[in-house]
Amino acid sequence: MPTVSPTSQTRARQLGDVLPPLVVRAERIAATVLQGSHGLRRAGVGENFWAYRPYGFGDSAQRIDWRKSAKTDEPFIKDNEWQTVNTLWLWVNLGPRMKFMSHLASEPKQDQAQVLGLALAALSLRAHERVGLLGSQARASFGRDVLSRIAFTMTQGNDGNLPAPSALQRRSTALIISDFLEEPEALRHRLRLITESGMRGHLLQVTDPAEESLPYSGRTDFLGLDVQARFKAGKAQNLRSEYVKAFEHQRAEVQTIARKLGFSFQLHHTDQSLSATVLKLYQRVGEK
Amino acid sequence: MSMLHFATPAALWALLALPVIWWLLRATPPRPVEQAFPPLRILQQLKRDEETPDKTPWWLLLLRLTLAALLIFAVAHPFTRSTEVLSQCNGPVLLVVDDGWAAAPDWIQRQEALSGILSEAEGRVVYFATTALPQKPEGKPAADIAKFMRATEPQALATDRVKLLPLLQGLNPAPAEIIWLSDDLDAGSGAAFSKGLNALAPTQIFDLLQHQGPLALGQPTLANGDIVTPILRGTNAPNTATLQAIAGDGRVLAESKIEFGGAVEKQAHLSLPAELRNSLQSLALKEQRSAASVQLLDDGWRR
Repeated sequence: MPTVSPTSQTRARQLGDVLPPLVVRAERIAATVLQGSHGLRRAGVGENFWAYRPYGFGDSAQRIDWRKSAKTDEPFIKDNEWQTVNTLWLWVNLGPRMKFMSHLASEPKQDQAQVLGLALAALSLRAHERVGLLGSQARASFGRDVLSRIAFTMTQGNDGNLPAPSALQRRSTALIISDFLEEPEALRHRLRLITESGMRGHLLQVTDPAEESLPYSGRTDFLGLDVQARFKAGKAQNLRSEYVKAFEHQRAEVQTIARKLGFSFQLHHTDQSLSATVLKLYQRVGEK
Repeated sequence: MSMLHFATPAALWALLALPVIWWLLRATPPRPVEQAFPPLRILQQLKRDEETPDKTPWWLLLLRLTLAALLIFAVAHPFTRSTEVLSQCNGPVLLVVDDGWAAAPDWIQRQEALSGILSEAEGRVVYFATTALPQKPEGKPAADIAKFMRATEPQALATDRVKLLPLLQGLNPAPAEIIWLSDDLDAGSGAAFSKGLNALAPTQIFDLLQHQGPLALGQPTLANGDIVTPILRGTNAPNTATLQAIAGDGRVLAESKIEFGGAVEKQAHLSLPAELRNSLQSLALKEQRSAASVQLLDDGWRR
């Protein structure tokens, strides 16, 4: 009889606490978005569209669809059309930077990022797409439990560095949710690894309003979350205009990188409505 | 010897609080607010034209401490003595005042001069010695001496400096300087007395600004029915004098005006009718207030 270690028990309990709200929220948003978007402007991937082709050399006899074949003289094969069904590879930055929540926001960046990612995953699953976590060893799959599994994996966090895709994850769509505050060069390098594997996709930048506007004043020591660094400002308000420009510049660079590598770019502020972002993103994902 | 004196030197103890003030001033800039900020990398790229030091710069600290020290000094009320007569030192002062008859005419001016000197001597120990009736002086604060000085009056006596000198020796604390308010009469002892004082401490002979020497009446005599009175004139004394014959009820019976013309002694002649001479009681010099300017006459002068 297998014993259950205390840590995994604890994890399971945490899972019970964390998972349902996240998944439920994501699914609720997904439902809202589905109601709101009339016409998905995409071919369905249901059973109706499976194709038949004549049995040929090299095909396994087991794959012959006998009912179809019985109508004609030739044996037909129910093709594995579902294998080329789009796969969504999701990656949500859960690094130290994403734990930030300013007084202008109601939730940490990582919470919103996870819900956004899970909502998109839920929508993709409803469209019978396969969903997987980028960088994880698990294969992309479909089904209702996929969402819970992804949510569970997310609770384990990550180091905030975009992982390189494994060889299996080819010709599919990547959805990368992060704050994209790292060095643009580092981001370019990691995104290129993904595009080299044949993936294209979407970048969703989750930004706390305070990160854009620097709404602080007076003597302030700014502390890094991902680096042990300290920036002393005598009058934080004096830095504001210059900082806003620098932040816009950073975002513009990320957008340029995205465009050059064939990624779309979208913005989400943590004080915005989640469903509006999910709707926009879903439409964009659906176009591909 | 310091030029600076303090009215309330106790306030200088507050200077001991300067280290505390130093510590407080160092702590004055409020601790910065610590703010986690994910885009720190972007913030660090900004060029920092406004370099804010994390602690008070030393010169500002120095400035503030100096300010605090000056404040404490101001509370201690520093002052420098006005240096008309006295030296700047803080030791005891010996005032030697001639209060014989010769000092009487300008006694008010002498008192004023003395009170000026005493106000300069604020905070110092003062000895007050008079020469007409010598007594061993006691060292007292200048304010007490000033009260005492206002109550003193000139004596109708000659000065006795020779007797005073030994009384001034062995004063404790010893005087650091001596001011001698002289009546300008040598009296045969001036030089020795001056030397004796100088042996005790540096001595200044203080002169009144508008000082007039004394006039004195000699013994009157009768000559050819006239009353002949020799009038003695001290140095700086007025060049003219008016001798008045005064009755018992204060009436002026006769006057005789004389001019000295630089002479030390001149005789005044008064001729009076017999009835007037019988009511004569005294001879006096007009506008001279001293014991030496009055001669009382007895019945021997009547006819």
